[in-house]
Amino acid sequence: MAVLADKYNMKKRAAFVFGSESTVCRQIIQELTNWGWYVYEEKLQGCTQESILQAAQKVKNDLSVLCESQENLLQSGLDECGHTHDPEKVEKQVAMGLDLLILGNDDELPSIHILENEAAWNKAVEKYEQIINKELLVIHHMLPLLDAGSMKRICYVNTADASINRCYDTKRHLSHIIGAARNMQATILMNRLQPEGYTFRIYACREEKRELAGCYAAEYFIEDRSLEPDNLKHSDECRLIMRDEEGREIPW
Amino acid sequence: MKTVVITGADRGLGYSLCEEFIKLGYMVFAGQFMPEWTQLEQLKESYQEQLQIIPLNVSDFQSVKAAMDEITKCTDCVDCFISNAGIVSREKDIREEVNTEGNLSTFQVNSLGALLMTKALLPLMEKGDKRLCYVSSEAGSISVAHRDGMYGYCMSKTALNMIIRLLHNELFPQGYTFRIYHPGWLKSYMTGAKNEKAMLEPEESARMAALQFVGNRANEEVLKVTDVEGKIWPF
Repeated sequence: MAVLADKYNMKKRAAFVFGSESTVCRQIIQELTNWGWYVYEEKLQGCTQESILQAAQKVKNDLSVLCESQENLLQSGLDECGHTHDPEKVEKQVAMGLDLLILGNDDELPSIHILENEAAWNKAVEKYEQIINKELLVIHHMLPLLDAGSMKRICYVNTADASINRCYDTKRHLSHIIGAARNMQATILMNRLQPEGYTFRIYACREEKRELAGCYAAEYFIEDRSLEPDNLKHSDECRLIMRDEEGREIPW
Repeated sequence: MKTVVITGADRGLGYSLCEEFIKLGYMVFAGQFMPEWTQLEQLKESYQEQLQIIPLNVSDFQSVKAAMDEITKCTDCVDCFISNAGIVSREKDIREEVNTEGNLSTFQVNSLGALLMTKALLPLMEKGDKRLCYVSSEAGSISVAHRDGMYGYCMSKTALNMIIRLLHNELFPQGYTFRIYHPGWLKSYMTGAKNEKAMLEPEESARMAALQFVGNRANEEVLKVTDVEGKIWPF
């Protein structure tokens, strides 16, 4: 992991993980922490608009403190280990904002069949509110912090069955409906924010690879894809697609 | 006489679909959400026997149940269901505000409403043509999504497309066939007043829709979104 951390120059980067109680997100948090990231988190269950606001405020305050301590280091002429610093390197690290926003999936979604009954309908409405609306609120409140970050990347954890083209299931209705809507959410958001330098990822978990899904996802989220501003057809960052653990594209 | 149930029939595309199906000789059950809008009543004056107006809010369990009671009094067989009811809520830029209430109501009407009506109608459709038709939109296509806003509406239409996929997975083996229709940019009342800037009159789109809704296809197992010209749109 240390090798990876050096490879991607990820030191001093910060991520916010929403939906942190899911198995995949726990793994992602573990990976990022191992790589030296500052990771903030908020659970999906029980989350409110107020708790999202508080979380954003906490991240902002923490990052301010970190920035301040880095400024002090810069002025002292020493790095964190007490060595004389490379001014250019430290200067880059001083600009601290939120680099990565990760929106996890809810692996507690009941496998309900929505044609069942009124209770199933009510559960669908409740979950849509809890997941879709809360995600939008998280994005809304975290955008100013992401603007100040160096990576400007928003990542979704989804499932392969969120693909309308490739969903053959007849049971877990709710998960697929919400998953498909989240893919649209990500796409509109990319249309809106890509001109401001944002990039996006959607990771499609597959049941067969569930155990290591978070490890695959974390690496996919921090890797850059081809980007040639003068040749947009050469730029994989210009299109959004779900990818599984092997990077294979899953159609919408 | 064949029967069809059409939701959101007060005006725009839904109303025009009622006219088309009356012309095709169907008995039309028209879901009425806005009794203050009198277009359907005027149509009823000319087609007393072929048009039944049914009060209906597709996002309300009790309303759907009451509508089913009304339909069941008139017939024991529905051949075709057309899910047309839809709303759009006003949204600001993501940096300014999130319209959580609007997103939720849009999902309840545009996505879950279609599902609720389908569920309610299935017992009546068992003996009929088993044709399920849904008015979706290019706005629900992730592959060609071009908007940088309107999250609620676009997500609701994507969710609808997934719902149709799930219904297809389950009901196609039972003999049901499906249509997903993108009606084009209509001079409709989706945002309140009639949109005169749009490209198509609802009547034109309804004419093409009706042909697709009643016609058969060689490969019914293929679920696809088609527009007024029958061209295919990706999911």
